[in-house]
Amino acid sequence: MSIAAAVTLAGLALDLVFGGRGMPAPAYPDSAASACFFVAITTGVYLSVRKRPIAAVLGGRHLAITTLIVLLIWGALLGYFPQVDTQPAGPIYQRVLRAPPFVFALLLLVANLWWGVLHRLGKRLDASALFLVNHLGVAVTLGAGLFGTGDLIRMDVWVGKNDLVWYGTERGHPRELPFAIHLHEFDVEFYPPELRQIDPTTGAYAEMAGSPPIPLKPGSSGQIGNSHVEVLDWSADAPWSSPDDAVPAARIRISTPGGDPAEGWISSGSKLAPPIFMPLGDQVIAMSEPRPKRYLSQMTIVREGFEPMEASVEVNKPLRVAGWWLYQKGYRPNPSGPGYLSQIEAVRDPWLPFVYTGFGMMAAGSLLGFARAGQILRNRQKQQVSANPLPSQAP
Amino acid sequence: MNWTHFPWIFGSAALCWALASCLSGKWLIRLAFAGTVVVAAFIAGLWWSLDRPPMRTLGETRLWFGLLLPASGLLIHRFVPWKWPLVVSTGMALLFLGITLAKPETHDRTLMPALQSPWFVPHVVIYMMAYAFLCHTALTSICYTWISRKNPGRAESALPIVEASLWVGFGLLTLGLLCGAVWAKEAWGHYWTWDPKETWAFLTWGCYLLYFHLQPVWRKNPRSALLFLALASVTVFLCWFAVNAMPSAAQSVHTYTG
Repeated sequence: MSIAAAVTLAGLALDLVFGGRGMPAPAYPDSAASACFFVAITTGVYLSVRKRPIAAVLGGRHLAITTLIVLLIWGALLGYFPQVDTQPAGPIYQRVLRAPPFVFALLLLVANLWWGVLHRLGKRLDASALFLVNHLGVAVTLGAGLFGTGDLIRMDVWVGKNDLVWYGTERGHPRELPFAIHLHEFDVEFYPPELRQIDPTTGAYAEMAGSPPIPLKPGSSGQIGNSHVEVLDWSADAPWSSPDDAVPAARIRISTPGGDPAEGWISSGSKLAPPIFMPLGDQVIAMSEPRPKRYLSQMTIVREGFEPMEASVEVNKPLRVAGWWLYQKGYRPNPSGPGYLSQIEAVRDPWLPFVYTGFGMMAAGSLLGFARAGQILRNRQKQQVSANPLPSQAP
Repeated sequence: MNWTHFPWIFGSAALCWALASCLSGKWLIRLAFAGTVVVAAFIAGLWWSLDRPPMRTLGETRLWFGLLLPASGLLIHRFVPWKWPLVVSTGMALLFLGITLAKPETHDRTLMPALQSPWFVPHVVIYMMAYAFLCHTALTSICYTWISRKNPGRAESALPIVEASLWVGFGLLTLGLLCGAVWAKEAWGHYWTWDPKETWAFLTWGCYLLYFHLQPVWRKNPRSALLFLALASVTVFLCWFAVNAMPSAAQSVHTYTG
C-alpha cells in the first residue's frame, strides 16, 4: 500500500501547490521526451534492482492491486460527480481528470505494468503469452493516451455554404488550421415525422407505450387511448411556409366516441414558424421534431502547395487530411441566412497508432482468455475423472 | 412483428422455460432452447419491422439480455451439465423480459446517425454477451457462497466453473470496450473521453481485473472469491442502468434512452 499511498499523497500535495489548476500536459517535442524519459527511468530502475527482491515488488501484483484500488476510488468519484472546469478550481472530486493524484496513479499503473512485463520477459513465452499481451497492451494504450494528451487537438469549425474557413476554436480559443475548408453543400436528410402525444403540463412526450407510433403520411391511422386518429394530408412545405423557411405540417382528424370528429393542422414548426398542436382530452397531439437520418458536408480542402481536394465528410465517415481527421459533428440553422451551418471537428492525435497497437494486444489477450477458460474446464474434467469415475451432479 | 406481439412472445418463452425447469435431460435442453429461439425470433422480427437494430433503448438492451443469458446458459450447460444454472438463467431472463413487458416503450424507426455504424451491433452484442457470462458468474457465486457456509470445501469445487465463465465474460467485456473505443473514434472523434458511461465501463473492467490479481487470496479462501464476484456484478448493473440516474449522467452522450 505504501507506494500507491505515497504517490497519492504526493499528488494531493502537488494539487495544493498548483492551486487546483491541474497537471500540465506537455506537447511535442516535450511529450515525446517525457515518454522516452519515463520508459528510460522505469527500465533503468528495474535493471538496477533486478536481482533484488524489490524487482518482484515493482512488477508484482501487490502494487497492481493497491494502484487499481486507488484508481477505482478516483474512477468512482469521476463517474458519479459531474466534472466542471471553473476558476477558481472547485473540489478535487469535480476535476478528477487533471488532478495530480489521479494522473500519478495512472502513471504508477503504467510503470507497474511495464515492470511486470520486464520481470516476465525471459520466462517461457507459451506460459507468459496471456500475461505479456494483456499487460503490455494496457501499458501501451494507457501510456500513449497519457503522454499524448498534450498533442491531442480537437477544434470545432463552423462553416456555411460557399464559405472558406481556415480556423476553428479549441476550448473557445481561436486557432488556425494548416488547410482551408470550402463548403459547397451541406445535405441533411430527416426521418419522416411521427404523430406524438404531449403532456402540456411538462412538455414531455407522453409515450403511447407499447403501440407503434403513427407515421405522418396520408392515409395512415391509429388509436390513441379511445380516440381514432387519421392523417388526411402531409406536406413538407405547408401553405404558410416562406421561400427560405419550409414548414412541415399535417392535417389530421381525431374521432372520439360520442363526439364530433375534429380536424386541423399540426406542425413541428420551423426557424420562423411556431409549432401547432391539437388538443386531445388533457393532452395534446403534436408532430415529432424532425430527427436527422444522415447529414454530410461536401467540400474542397485547400492546402498550400497541393492541388485542391474534393471530399465529403459524414457521421461515422471521417476524412483524413494532412495528419488531421475531419469529423461531421453537427449542424445548426444558419442565423444569418437560409440553410444550415455545418459543424466540422478537426482532430489531430499523433499517438493514435500506439493506442491502436495496445488495443490489438488487448484483443489478443481477450482471445487467449477464452483459451484459458477452456483449459480450466478441461483440467476440472481431468480432476473429476481421476477422483471419481462417476460424473458429478448439481449441488 | 412489432411490440404488440411481445406479451405473446413473453408468454411462450415463459411456458417453454417453466416446463424446462420441471424436466431434465434432453427435454430440459430442448425446451430451454425453444424458449430462447422464440425470443430470438421476436428480436429478428422487431429488427426487420423497425428497419434498425433494436439496441437503442434500455428496454431493447434488456431484450438482448433476455436472449443471451439463456443462450450462454445453454453453452455453459454443454461443459458443466448441471440443471440449476440453466434454470436460474432462464428465470433471470424472464425477469428482465418481464421488466420490459411492464415498462413498454415506443419503438420508433429512428436511429441517430452516430449509431448507424458497423461497430454499433458488435459493440452492443459483445457487451450483452459479456454481461450474460458475468451474470452466470455472479449467480453461481451467490449460490455457492450460500451452499458453502457450512462446508467451505464446496466453494473450492465451484471456483473452476466460476472462473471459466469469468474468463469468457471478462474477455468479451474487453472486446466490447475496444469495439466501443474504435467506434467512438470513428463517430465522435476520440476513443476515450471519460464520459460517465465510459468511466463506469472502466470501473466494471477494473473490478474484475482486481479479482484476477487477488488470486493468492482466493486460493486460501475460495468462499471470499465467490463473495467478491457476487459483489463485483453490482458494477455491471451500475454501468448498465444506474449511471442514468447519477448526477454525472447529464454530461454523458452514451447513456441509453428509454
